[in-house]
Amino acid sequence: MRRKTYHINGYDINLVKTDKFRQVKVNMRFVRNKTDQQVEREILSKVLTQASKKYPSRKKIGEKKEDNYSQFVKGYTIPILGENSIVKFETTFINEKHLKKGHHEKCLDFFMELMFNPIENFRDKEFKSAQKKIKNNFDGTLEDPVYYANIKALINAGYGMFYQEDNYQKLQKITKEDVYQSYLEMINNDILDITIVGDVNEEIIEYFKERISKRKRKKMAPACYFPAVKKQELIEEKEFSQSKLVMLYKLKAIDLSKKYIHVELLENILGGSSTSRLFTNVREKKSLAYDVRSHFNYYKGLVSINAGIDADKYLPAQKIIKQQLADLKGGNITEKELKDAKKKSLNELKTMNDRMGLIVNNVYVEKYYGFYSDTKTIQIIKETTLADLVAVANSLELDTTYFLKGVADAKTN
Amino acid sequence: MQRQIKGIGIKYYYQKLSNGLEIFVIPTSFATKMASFTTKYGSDHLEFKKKGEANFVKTPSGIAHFLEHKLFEYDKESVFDFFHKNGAYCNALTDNERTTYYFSGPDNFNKNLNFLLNYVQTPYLTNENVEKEKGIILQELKMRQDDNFIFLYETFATSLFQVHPRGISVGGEMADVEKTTKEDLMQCYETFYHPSNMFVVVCGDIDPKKVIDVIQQNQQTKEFPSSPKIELKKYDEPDEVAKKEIIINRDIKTPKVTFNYKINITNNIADRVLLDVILDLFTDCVFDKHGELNEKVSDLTENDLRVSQLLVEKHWVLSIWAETHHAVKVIKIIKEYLQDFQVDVQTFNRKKKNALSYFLKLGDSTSGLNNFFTSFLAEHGHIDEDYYLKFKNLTYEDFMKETKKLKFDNYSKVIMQKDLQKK
Repeated sequence: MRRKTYHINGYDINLVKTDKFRQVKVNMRFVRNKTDQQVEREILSKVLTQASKKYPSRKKIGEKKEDNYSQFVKGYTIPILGENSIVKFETTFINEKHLKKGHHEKCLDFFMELMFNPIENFRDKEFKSAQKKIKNNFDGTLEDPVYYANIKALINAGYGMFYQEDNYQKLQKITKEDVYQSYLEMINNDILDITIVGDVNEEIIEYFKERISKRKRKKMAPACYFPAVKKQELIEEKEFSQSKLVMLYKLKAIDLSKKYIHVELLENILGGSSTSRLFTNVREKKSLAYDVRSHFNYYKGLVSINAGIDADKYLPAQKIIKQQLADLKGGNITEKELKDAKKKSLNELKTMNDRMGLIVNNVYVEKYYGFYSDTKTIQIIKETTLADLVAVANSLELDTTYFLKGVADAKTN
Repeated sequence: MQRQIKGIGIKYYYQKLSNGLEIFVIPTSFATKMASFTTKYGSDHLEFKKKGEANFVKTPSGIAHFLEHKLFEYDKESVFDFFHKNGAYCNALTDNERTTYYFSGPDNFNKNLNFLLNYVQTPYLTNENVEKEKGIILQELKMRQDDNFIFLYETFATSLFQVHPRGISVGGEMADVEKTTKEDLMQCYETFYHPSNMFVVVCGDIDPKKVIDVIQQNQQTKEFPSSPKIELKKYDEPDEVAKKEIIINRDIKTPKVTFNYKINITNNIADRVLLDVILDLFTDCVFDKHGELNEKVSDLTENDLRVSQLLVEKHWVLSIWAETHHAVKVIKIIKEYLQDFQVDVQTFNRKKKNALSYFLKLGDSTSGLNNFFTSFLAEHGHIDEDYYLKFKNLTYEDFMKETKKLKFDNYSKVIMQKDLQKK
């Protein structure tokens, strides 16, 4: 596998050449260094793949995808990444080595048509359909207890979230003309980054170079956002069978860009696997939960803990979780735990190149956070000591305890 | 013995050991190596007897899933610890027709493979560890109950089946989980975990011959009783649905509706794999996201229609999901459309092209390949080397002839909505 970045015409193309896959993946990202157009970008991620001047309906687009041997095209967003907002479009298609010459160009032409040749101001039909689906997704997300509890905890801890009331209101008021203006800004002014994975040669760079005009190179805003620590306990009741406990620990007084590997290893020991402290003590020993885990989010500087428990187990579960943190802070970590956590991280690195999506993600993670290359990461993992883990454990501060108390059983008639 | 799925270049190695265990090895170029060990025993197999016995044993619902949880209890070493220290991820899953244990990781493959075979073939059940597990399983069931889509999925099956256990969720009823005993679990283990009822699927950058040798040597060190002749209870499931309508009250903004057909397929072709191919293509053609039916309901629904389909003995179940404030109108449109559905030859050919693409893409993921082989084996009992060719060679005329035999007149509705009487 070979990776090379081409800096051309004010944007970057990252080419990852590998013959492991029968498909080719192209990921095109537009980064806005503000978060003021989250709703517009969310609609763009949907509406652009539903109609274009040459393929003016969903039906025409669907048929074209199938004619191209089920070419995959989809838009996604990262509404808030630190102080940026990202919309990305991805296409995956069969490598022409398995079909016939010219297939790549056919698929790329179709992808470019969708990105760069939309109907001016969009059509009512596709616009309203996108608006409706996002609203439905909004409702569905907030009706799911796991998402709901996490979103509520994060909002209360000071993080901006897409699923907030102001975005919900904006979604219903926004016009297709507003969104088209946002499209023009995206196409002309956003930071553009393209990543290609597959068994293709450098001709593909020329393909994009000829079709995407010169743009002014811009800088991303910081990709991380760390709000001040709060100390709060929040309890809310809703009609669910199971209650959800969320505990957010913020990382203070460490340089995450240098210490993130230590936090990753620590988080793995805390609740990142089926041998973790949380899994062993909350689930296996006390049978309090089926699902209990931790998650390290580097761009929020946060380790979160989630557990699905019975309502009357709020205090005992909380006590056990706090005890695990206290143990780690006090240096109660074994060499075996560290060794196993290192092994897990190293193996994740070894298998990362088996999945096209992870290869793309890895390119951007390095770019956004200034993380190290694989070789340097391996070295740091190997050199990590117990003292390193205890140091980062002591920078974890409990910020928000949020408890979604389930108060009813679902009934059927 | 090398074999292949003809016409598409997926090669695999097959061996059946003297104890009846079947092995399928699919070499790939990926660093991730994955092995799965499956018993053809799932939540459907609630009633069984040994051949010659008079009465069927009836076990509590959810017991296959309970047993899956318990086999992670191994007296020699913690299963999770072992795989963790050897750099592999391990897990298991139970569905209606099978229970699968698996691991994946780049290193120590032979060691991990031996361990997988050993812990699954060495149950360690005590009254204490069975009791302890109940709390964990009940929490899992509650979590599933709170998930609107999972709950709907489980309820739509309940609305269709009168006597077949498919109407009960894989995890079982909570009361059944609470009354399950160590003896119940051991009885199921002894009946269904004999090597002759199991198979191993391995994918990754491995030498197939060596993998087969490792498994063979492992099995030679163990003694198994002679293969039990199991007779599964046959259910004479009526064509009528169990409940025509089920209403679920939930605090949700947009009602979710499943509209479910139960269709007798005894008049369709007997080749189950080919029938599966035809039904897959049928759902692809008719419920296409950009097709005519979705277009007809698009103003009435909040999202595209979703569809799931399965074959359960002599019935084909087709379930259509909509998020809508106009359930009655949407159902009427679907009913009318299916009474006289049309698929043109161009659409049929485009969907066949999709199938080719599906097979080519399969080779791009170790877990995708492993799941494909495992699910196919659990459903059909063998790998059909002509599977791809059955797609490729299917003619439009044969497709229409078979699909026009389907009678869309027997259905249930499950509606999840806000409690209309509650203020």
